[in-house]
Amino acid sequence: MSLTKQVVIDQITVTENGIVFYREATRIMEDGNQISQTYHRTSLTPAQDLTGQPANVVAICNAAWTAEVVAAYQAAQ
Amino acid sequence: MANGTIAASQLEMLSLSGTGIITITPPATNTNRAITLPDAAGALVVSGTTPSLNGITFPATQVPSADANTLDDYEEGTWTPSLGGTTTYSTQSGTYTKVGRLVFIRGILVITTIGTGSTTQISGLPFANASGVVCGISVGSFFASATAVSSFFASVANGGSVINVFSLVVAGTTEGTSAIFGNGTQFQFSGCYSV
Repeated sequence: MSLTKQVVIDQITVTENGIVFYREATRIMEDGNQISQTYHRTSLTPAQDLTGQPANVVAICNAAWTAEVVAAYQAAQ
Repeated sequence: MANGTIAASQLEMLSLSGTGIITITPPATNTNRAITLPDAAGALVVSGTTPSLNGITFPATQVPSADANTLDDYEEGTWTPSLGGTTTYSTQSGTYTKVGRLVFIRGILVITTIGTGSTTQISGLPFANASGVVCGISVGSFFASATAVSSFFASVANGGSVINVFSLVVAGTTEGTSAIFGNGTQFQFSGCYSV
């Protein structure tokens, strides 16, 4: 019997106003079969500091956060 | 058993009454449970010598329903409330439970050093608040507010993913934005909003 832990980003969502949400799933596997799963969610607002964020999330943020999106989000706050 | 078919050896486990009641009985090696859906009263019944229902599992990714009577999602997990910037914490944690479109959150921040973090705004909510309304969040406990205020309240921004904390230093007619979070502030909160 071998237990392993997998942490994967299984959801990334961008809302209309530019907020990026992503979900990390932590899966405990026993001999290749999943025996438990937990979630951790994170949200990132336009122009937020992305230090320490996963590379694929950073790429999506950089694509979604155009100057227009950032300006519109900040104007709405 | 292939998809959509029942093997002859398994037919004895499934019965269908003339009134449309379906009863699923486990094999003889595990006779302590049966499921009837629906029973004569229209209920889902789990019965047997040790009846139990371990849970109802929803898809990992919600399949949204527009029907007002359909429960289409359940999820629980954690999130990390943050003030951003260079703030450091001794405790920084949160949990969420989403049932349908209702999101219940809890969080606790114990700030070590505020640095360049926000003094009035918590970010990182697990889901976006629906557009059209600002939802109130209850503050269960606080200690060492950065400003001596007479009252404050917290709310999830309209269509946003942050909690804004407003305050009043003296009696007034509009909300104020005095600094709440500072070195040593402890802040515990919980509340609901809708996605």
